[in-house]
Amino acid sequence: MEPIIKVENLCCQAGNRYLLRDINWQVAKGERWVVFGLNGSGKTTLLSIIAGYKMPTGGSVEVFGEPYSQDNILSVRKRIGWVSSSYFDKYYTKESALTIVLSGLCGTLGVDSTVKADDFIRAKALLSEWNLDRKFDFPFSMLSKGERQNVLIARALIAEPEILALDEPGTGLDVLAREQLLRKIDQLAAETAMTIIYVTHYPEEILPIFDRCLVLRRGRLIEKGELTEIMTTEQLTEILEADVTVTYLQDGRLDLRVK
Amino acid sequence: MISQFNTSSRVQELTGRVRRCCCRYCGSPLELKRITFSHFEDSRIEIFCTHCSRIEYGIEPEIYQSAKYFVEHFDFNWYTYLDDNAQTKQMTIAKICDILSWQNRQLGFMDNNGFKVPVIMQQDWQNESMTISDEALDKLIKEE
Repeated sequence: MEPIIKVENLCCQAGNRYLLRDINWQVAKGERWVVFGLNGSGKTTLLSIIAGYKMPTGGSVEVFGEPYSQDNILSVRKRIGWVSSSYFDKYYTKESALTIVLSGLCGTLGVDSTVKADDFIRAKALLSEWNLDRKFDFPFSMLSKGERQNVLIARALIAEPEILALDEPGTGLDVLAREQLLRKIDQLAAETAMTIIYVTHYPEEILPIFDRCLVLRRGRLIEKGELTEIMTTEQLTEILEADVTVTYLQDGRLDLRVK
Repeated sequence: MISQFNTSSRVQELTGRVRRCCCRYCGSPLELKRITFSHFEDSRIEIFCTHCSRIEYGIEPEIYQSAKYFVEHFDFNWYTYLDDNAQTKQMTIAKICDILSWQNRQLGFMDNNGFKVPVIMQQDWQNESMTISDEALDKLIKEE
């Protein structure tokens, strides 16, 4: 099957420092991947390049069979629902929740004339679905961390994307909000054939719907393949360079303990 | 402020709005700004209100003036469940702008390029205070 994401020898430098180096990765339609790694391993950088919000300094990225260009950047972005508070928190402060959700239809940070009256209805329905029904017009900065995360998820979903890329969506959420989020992602995965990429540094967030895993460490790809083969005590002890124990719980979730 | 752009339809549209529109929240002029880093102009340019520091699509100034007048004159607050402060007032004005804009589009008075019909504003609505000419003032004094 032709991959919908194809990354070859991908590099991204900031000054002399490599954020990513020689990454090779292919994702086929409908696959569910976890991108795992510690802080600073390059997970967010990789996702932001794939989603078309950051440019690589070397190698190539093809999404839906074509590289990014001036002609396709916005149309390709619309087909990828990208949720990343570490990215969007830098740009959104006073923008209303509704405007942010609608911007997902444009593939940009703001809105333009492509947004139609019906889109407002859909955006409001999505915000209501994600527990923001009285906060459509609230500035982003007035919302709690969990609410901001939900706004970004609604933004990602409004264009009915073929790829959903979630960059550490559980970070900063309290335990109940995180479980609620994971349940909704689980439901979304069950109801759609969407390709889902879930970036995390917490193995306990990994749902049984994810069967593939890519591991990054200090900007380099360490492992990729079947999740159950990578998320083991032996492998993670080596990957994390720490003495850890991995246990699979009855519901298929993971439990990681650092000794 | 960016002075030169390529000719993509999105950038053209945003440029037109910047020339024509003001911020829905504060009424200030808008600017085009390169917000994010990208090789592609279409994906990095947004309309921005530097006064509010927000990415803002903007509204026709006539609509903003009407909305501001309505909110101030009738002491109208859409968000009664929020603190009654300057931010809430701005949010209310922006909401009224959206409503007026929707209505004008529905009635066929406006499209993506602004008003399609001549707009004659009530000049004494333009600001919080009325502007009275010297002649009119003299007349008022004489009448009193």
